[in-house]
Amino acid sequence: MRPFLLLLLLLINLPTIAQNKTIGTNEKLVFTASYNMSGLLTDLAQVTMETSEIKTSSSTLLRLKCRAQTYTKWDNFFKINDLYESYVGANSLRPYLYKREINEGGYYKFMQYKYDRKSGQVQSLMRKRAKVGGFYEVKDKLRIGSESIDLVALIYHIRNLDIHKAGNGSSDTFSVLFDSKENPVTITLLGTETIDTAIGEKSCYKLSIALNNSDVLKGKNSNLLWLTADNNKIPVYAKFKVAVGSGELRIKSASGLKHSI
Amino acid sequence: MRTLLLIIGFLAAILGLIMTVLPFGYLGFLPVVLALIIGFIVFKMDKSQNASGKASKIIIAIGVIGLALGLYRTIFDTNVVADDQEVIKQEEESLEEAKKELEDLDIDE
Repeated sequence: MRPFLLLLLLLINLPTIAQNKTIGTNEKLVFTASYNMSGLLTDLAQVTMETSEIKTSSSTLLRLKCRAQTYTKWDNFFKINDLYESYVGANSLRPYLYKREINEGGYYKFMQYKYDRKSGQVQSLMRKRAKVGGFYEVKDKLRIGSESIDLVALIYHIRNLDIHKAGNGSSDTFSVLFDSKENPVTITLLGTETIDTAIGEKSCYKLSIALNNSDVLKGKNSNLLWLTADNNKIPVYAKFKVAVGSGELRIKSASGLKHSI
Repeated sequence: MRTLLLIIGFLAAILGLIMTVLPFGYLGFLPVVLALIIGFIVFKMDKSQNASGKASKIIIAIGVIGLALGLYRTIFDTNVVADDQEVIKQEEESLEEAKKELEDLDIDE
């Protein structure tokens, strides 16, 4: 009876101790972000997603860094310089620290989540520019679920899913901490498609992303992500629809991947 | 009819010129092409009526400037991001701060 119970416990806990089989420790993905203006796509910014290994005195973590920067031709009109970082367990991809620093045309916001996994709490810190000059900070403590992740970690978690085992129409829901609130994000596999990309013609998983209980992402099946249907599951193409319009992300280059392409 | 075409032509030419000065890409060509088409239509109308056609020539001239500017930007404007030291410094500082924050945490990995 005892071995059976142990096996049962192991199976129940299997999704929570999922191992990183996809993300390399020195990966760099570069994208072009385009914005839809009256039906014509205009290249607006470059998005870079990089991973690197970080060692602390007690553990080894992965730094997942996402940077969005407008192309220089736009900088005089509207400059975007955003940095998103998530420090996750190298194997579990579970986040321990999340930082978001956005600089968008004079608007500045810094957000930090420090996860205390044992107590199920997050220490949040928000820093904004004060109207009278200088900055002000707001500190808070939030209670979160054990599987709660952040936006950056979500992208890497999706890539680490065993999508090849899922059938068309199957979905998975993640609890994502954003703007000091946990939001359920549902990922649905719509099917497979072969698309032309800057890194070659790729057979891809087509996924839809829905942010429940929030109006950040608009439309049904309007936010789509194409991941290569191989061991790297590279996000090669994405379409998004937000309150201020729609756009897309196209891959420009991919290097330092865990598996050869 | 001629007056209406002239108003639309002037507006399209000015809009096209502004959009080609700004980095709107192919989108800037839409009003420029519209202005050129209207400019030529009014020019033909003026020619058939033996009018001076001065206004239509101005629309065509602005349209040609917009077209040249748009083509220049399409060919020579490349998609590059600022490679400034400030960005590199910001990332390094962020990493150093993160390392300090992570040392305080009880990481079970």
